[in-house]
Amino acid sequence: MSDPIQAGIDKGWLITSAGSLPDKTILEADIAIIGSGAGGATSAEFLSKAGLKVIIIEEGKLRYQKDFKMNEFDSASTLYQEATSRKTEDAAIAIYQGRTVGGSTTVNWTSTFRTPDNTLNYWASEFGLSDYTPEKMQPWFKEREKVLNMSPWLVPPNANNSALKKGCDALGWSSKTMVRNVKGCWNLGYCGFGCPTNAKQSMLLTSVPTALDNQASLLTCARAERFHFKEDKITHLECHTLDSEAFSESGKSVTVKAKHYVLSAGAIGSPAVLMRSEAPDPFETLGKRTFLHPVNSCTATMPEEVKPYEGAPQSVYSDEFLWREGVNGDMGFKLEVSPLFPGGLAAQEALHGKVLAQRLAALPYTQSMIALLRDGFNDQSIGGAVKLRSDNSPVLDYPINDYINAGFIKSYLSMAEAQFAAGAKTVTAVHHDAKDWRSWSEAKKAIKSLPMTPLRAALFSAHVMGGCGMGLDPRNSVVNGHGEHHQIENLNVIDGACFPTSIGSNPQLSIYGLAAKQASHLATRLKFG
Amino acid sequence: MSHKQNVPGQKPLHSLLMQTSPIHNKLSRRQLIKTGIFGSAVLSISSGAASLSASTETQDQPAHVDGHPYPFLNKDDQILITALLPVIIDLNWPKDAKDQQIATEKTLRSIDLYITRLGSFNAGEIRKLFDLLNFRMTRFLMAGVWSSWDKVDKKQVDEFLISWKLSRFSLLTGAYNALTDILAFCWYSNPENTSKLGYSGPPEYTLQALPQFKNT
Repeated sequence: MSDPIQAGIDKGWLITSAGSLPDKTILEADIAIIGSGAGGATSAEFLSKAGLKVIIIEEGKLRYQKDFKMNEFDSASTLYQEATSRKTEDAAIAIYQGRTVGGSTTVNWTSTFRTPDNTLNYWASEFGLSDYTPEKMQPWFKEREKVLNMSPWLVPPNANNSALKKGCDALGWSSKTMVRNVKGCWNLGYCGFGCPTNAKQSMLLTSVPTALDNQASLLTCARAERFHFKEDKITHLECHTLDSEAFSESGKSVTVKAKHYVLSAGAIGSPAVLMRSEAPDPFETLGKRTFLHPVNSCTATMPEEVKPYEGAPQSVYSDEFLWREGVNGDMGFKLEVSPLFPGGLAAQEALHGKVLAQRLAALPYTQSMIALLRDGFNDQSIGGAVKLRSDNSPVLDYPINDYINAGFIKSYLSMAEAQFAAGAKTVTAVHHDAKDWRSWSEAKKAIKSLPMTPLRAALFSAHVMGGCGMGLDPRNSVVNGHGEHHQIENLNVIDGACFPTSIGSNPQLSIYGLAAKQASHLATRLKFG
Repeated sequence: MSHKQNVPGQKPLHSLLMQTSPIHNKLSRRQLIKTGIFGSAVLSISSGAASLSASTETQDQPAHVDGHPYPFLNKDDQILITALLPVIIDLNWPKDAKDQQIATEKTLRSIDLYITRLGSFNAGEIRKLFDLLNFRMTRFLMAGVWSSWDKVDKKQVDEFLISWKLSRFSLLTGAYNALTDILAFCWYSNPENTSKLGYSGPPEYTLQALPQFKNT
């Protein structure tokens, strides 16, 4: 089995670990792209194909198949932002984002959805984004689906996902089979650890190699620190270099000079670079409206083995409650399942003693349901704000209000109801005050009085969106519909950071489609003025 | 036996913090938050006191308990974690004394490695938390534990953890979540520790078939 990354390195791809460069090295290119995840890599593919000289700057290290050994400790501590300990400012929501070449696409669970029509129509009506209607986006999604081998998962779902389907069927709720971006998948279940078999068509194995084949260069272990400006133009980007494992700064810097800059550092990282740069922000929109799809969870003990660590992590979903209260009514949510491994289960429970030991002992029989709350569609859901901490690292302040808590209670109820309908012996919410409930009626009563006090519920997010939102009006956005910064002439933000609301489903294809569209426009603009 | 007996007539701060008081009600979320992986303001203040007084029970030196250097954990931290681990892991903790010692050493090394990968800001927050738990005065005030961790029995450790978990004060719950998250993750993410629980790592055939497991 030949590894495509190793083969590319052997044939001379331009990849440099920043720490190996002399201090204060200056690198030049037509376009400097910050970030190699869904937004950055897609942009790199389109811009390099147009014949532009591209440099991709990535904070993480180039890790690939040889490093992907299905080990939970290694993957958690090397492939994620803050080694999976990233949290919102009050520590209430754990945030999982990739920090490696390929960004979060290297560690995502391959779940693929086009941006829902409701979301796109809402953007058109609320933010003037008439170029983002479902009809206008369709060709971009189609093209990316083809390139990234996205197709419905025809293998039977694992027991964890089957339970969601069974519960929905029993209750008359809709559920569907997921689309996944895989080629020759072994159905192992280690997607979140970096795909061990090179089956996942992540950016690491698709758009990044395409760009490198087109003479793009990749600078790894380099943290984009700040832009420097002359009037409304960026003159250069200052990067800090990290050690060869990308864990800590090594005290050196690299300067990148380009004609144009593309910021694709994620919805926390992108605003942070602009904040460190003291970029113009006349309407104080930068870093605001940052969304999470806040996730809560219920676990069930099933009569038969589930082995939630085996098989494609997500293959079934239910949108029964996603739009039920209207696009901008009470918070809607998407039902999915999450894979569970021992370390992850222990970390999410954050318990000790007999309770924790028993939860772990029950792992093979544990089914794990999650709900993704669709944030950003209501006046009471304005998202969070990215801020800089004392050391200039970013943190997201995401207040959880009654509107969001009502969504959590509703989704706990739906999850527990579905789990009992699927035959669960007991169900519990992943919450410090939840007990093991033995029936739906017991669960229903308990959930309704579950206190949503800060830090008692285990909450997560793997989908950070917004913070540099798109819109026609600079008073409620940071970039326009092309991703062009309202105030800075030679900067685009092409990323999930552009989303003016959350998506309402796992966002990878939404980012690919948006990036393909925006990067194509940028390529034309730069080539033909 | 209560750990409060050491200082008669005084109530540890943590027990006060567990009650809903008018002060709590007045403190808004905004006032309480400070950045960090457990969102700690009180922790910063208390551990500031701890580091100023510079009198944790043993000195802040890199330690070599099992002959290995630890870049992050000092000797006090190691003693603290050694006391916490068996209580956090409980039923799944090895029964045999030799196994316990090996398990402790391996997990200490994982915890040390893990913290060094969290980034300097988070590592700094954990430094404050560990200092707070290692400095006698703040340990007593915040955790209700007077004796040093090597002299505290399991029941007292359990009581301390429960008091933080059930605290009305979300900062202490946050610190509890961070402590249990990191320690339990570092234990349970090692497949050697979970094979008896049904998970012993990836399927054997993948190790035979995939190139990253071949020693060439």
